[in-house]
Amino acid sequence: MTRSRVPGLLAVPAALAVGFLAIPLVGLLGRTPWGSIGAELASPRVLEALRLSLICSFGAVAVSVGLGVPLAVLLARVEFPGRNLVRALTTLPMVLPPVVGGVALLLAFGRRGLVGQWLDRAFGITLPFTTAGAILAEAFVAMPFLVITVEAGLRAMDRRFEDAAATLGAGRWTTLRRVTLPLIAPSLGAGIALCWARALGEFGATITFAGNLPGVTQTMPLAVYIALETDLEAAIALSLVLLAISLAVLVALRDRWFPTA
Amino acid sequence: MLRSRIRLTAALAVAALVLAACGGGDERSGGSSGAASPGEIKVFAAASLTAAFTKLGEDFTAANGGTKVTFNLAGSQALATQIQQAAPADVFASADITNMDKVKDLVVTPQNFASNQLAIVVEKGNPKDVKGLEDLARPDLKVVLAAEEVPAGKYAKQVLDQAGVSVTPVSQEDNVKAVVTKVSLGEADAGIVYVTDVTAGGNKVEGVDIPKDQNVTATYPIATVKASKAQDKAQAFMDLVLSAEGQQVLKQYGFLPPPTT
Amino acid sequence: MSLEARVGLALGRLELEAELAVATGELVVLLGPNGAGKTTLLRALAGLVALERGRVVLDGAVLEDTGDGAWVPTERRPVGFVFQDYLLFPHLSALENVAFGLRARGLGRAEARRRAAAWLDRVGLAAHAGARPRALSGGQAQRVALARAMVCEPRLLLLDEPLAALDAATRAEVRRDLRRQLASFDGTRLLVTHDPLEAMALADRLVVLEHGRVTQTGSPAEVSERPRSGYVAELVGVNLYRGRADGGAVELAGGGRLIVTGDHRGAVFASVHPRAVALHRRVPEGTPRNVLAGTADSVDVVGDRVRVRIVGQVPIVAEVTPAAVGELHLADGGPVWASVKATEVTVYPA
Repeated sequence: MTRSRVPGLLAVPAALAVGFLAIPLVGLLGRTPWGSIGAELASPRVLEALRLSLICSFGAVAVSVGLGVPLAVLLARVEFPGRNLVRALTTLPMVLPPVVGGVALLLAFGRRGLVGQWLDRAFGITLPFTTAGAILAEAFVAMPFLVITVEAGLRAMDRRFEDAAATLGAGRWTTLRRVTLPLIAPSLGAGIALCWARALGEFGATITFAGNLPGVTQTMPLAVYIALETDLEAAIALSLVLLAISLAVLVALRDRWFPTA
Repeated sequence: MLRSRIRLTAALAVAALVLAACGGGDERSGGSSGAASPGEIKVFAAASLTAAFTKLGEDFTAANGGTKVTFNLAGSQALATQIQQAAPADVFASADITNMDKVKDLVVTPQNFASNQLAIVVEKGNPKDVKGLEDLARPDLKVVLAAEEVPAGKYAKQVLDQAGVSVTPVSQEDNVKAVVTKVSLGEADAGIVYVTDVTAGGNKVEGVDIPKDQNVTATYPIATVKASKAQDKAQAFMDLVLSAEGQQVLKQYGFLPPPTT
Repeated sequence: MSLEARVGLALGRLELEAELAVATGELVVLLGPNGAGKTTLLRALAGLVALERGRVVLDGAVLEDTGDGAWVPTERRPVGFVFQDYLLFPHLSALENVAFGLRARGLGRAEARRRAAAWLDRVGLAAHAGARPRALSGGQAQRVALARAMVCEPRLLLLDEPLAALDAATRAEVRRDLRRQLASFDGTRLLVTHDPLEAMALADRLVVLEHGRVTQTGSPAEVSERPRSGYVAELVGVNLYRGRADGGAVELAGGGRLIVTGDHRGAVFASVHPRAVALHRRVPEGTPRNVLAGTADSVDVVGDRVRVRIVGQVPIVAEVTPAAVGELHLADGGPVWASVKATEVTVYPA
């Protein structure tokens, strides 16, 4: 067995880190009303919030993949003017406080918003207060995770594989489809997982832009927040569900979490 | 190129932190941290009291040798839950008796200090021509209400039930100010809020009266918190609110005197 | 059927200006030191790097011409490329790798697989059709890469150091194999290597590329008998000088002169094989017309001979026996004289 060359003292801050992350979870599990949790979880409001959360988070992933993967490909492969600015722009939702993101979305896509008012006048489409709006809000905050991970994977990939494909007669689409994307599958998978997890947990932008209505826009995080104000035990139960789902995703990914070249 | 990218991200991060500091982070109701130091009291007050209490706070500071008053303004249900979780409050002013009752073991005898009535809030100019409660049931109107756990939401439901009007809101906000915001932004067409909120909403909104026979009276109790470390100062603030001077300020902002019974 | 190319481009620190013509049936080997631009040249012919100046014509069809902007993208050029580290797609099996080019060009799945299987059989890897590239040995991967390129029946086959990734033991065997496969290929073939042994063994014609320029072309025999650059001279193992000839003497560019036979005029190369150099500890007397003074700088054992590098006004490498080295006490340093008969100096125009 090879001997590790890591300094032993690292164990101390590492243990603190584990504690820091684990203690809140232990607290949550400790205060869980295990007796009544079954009833709490089966209540229609919870199931509705869960259903909505799943629909919105997967919807957000679909939007992120449809828009984000092409963006990542362009950022990684094409040198266009303003590329650095675009790249900075894609990281913007990551550093923006979610509520600020929600306000920005209102100003853009709200009924009186820059684009929203045109959508309303021309097509009668309004996004706030709709499930589509919740999906949009979640996609706004979650897409950067996908773009960044996929772009990193594309950059780490040996581009000569694409050269090889070209010499074998593969056009651009064929190369993308049969060589590039399969080669970055681990990055793509990790990016989708991160994107989905972020979308699932999104709160600030959703409540600001899409509003809070059970069955339409009240996703799990919103339901937890509202419940927290009146019924702590219900809030804990809901939190546990989110926790369980997140853990399941993490376990499924295991060490594919960090893409390697 | 990597360096300039790091710089850009760092600049964005700093900007975000600044925004977060000014604009408030993920939580809608700010939590207060740490016990009030002598020379400072923390007042937890219902959102509808924002304007009136801010003024009273300034008066209090001027009359009490610079004792600072910091406010935690949110839905009364959120404040009550926070106090139950031992949040460091010195004074609690609720928009209904129910939420004060929730913490009755944690406060010194409450006293009613004001009452309020409901009104319909619409955009300036009343573009959708809302005349009364019945209009809120119109399918072409987007109506926003406070969630039922919020006093304003509870009262609104009472009013609507009494009038026999069935309204499907597009969103259930977690404090009454958010209802005003949605209407003033033009995202919602109408909402039910307190009369005082219409005044406070400025020139972006206007109110539609709810006739006395359809309206309800909200009773606002105030109490000092037993666990407060500044009992005498807390009491002094409460006294100010109940005094003739305080009552005059409340009247200025549209509140009605407390019910005499 | 043939290739005619004039390539001019700059890539990083490399400035490539080369002209190349390969006739059908001719296996041309592009030889040169690392960084000479050999891979870049191949990539340019494949269309992976754009020309700044030049023209590429294959079998009469113009693939690229900077003069009138003609440009055929890589995927439409009938070119097969075997990369230095093969670049077999790791997510596909050997069979799927070989079938890739056929399917990319529109052939149906079943037919593509059939042809791919036939080719794998031809290179002796039928048993490994389902294996992933990482399960293959270096030699096996090389054969799959070759099959993958050749199954599409390209008109021009480019091979970039096809044996470089192999260990010495496998290399000889794979080289023989490669010769056989290439011999049966009926298009134009261009192979790149930095290994002189490989070059001599495979080439019909050698093209020597140094610092982006062609310094010499010819058959392996011609090139080794008459090297025209220090690089080739090193490879072949002869002493090479440049100078101006005036009758029976050559004034060397670096100073000094060599007495030669024949009547040469003008700019010339002069080469002397190390075997023809004798070493002395005293100024030699006798017939050798060229006596060069210097000191022994380094001693290299090559098989059962020793190559001694003499530095002086005219540097020269001598090949002597180990016994001679001992007798002369060359290891002790001190002055040494090298003698070369005029008849042993080969002179040819520069």
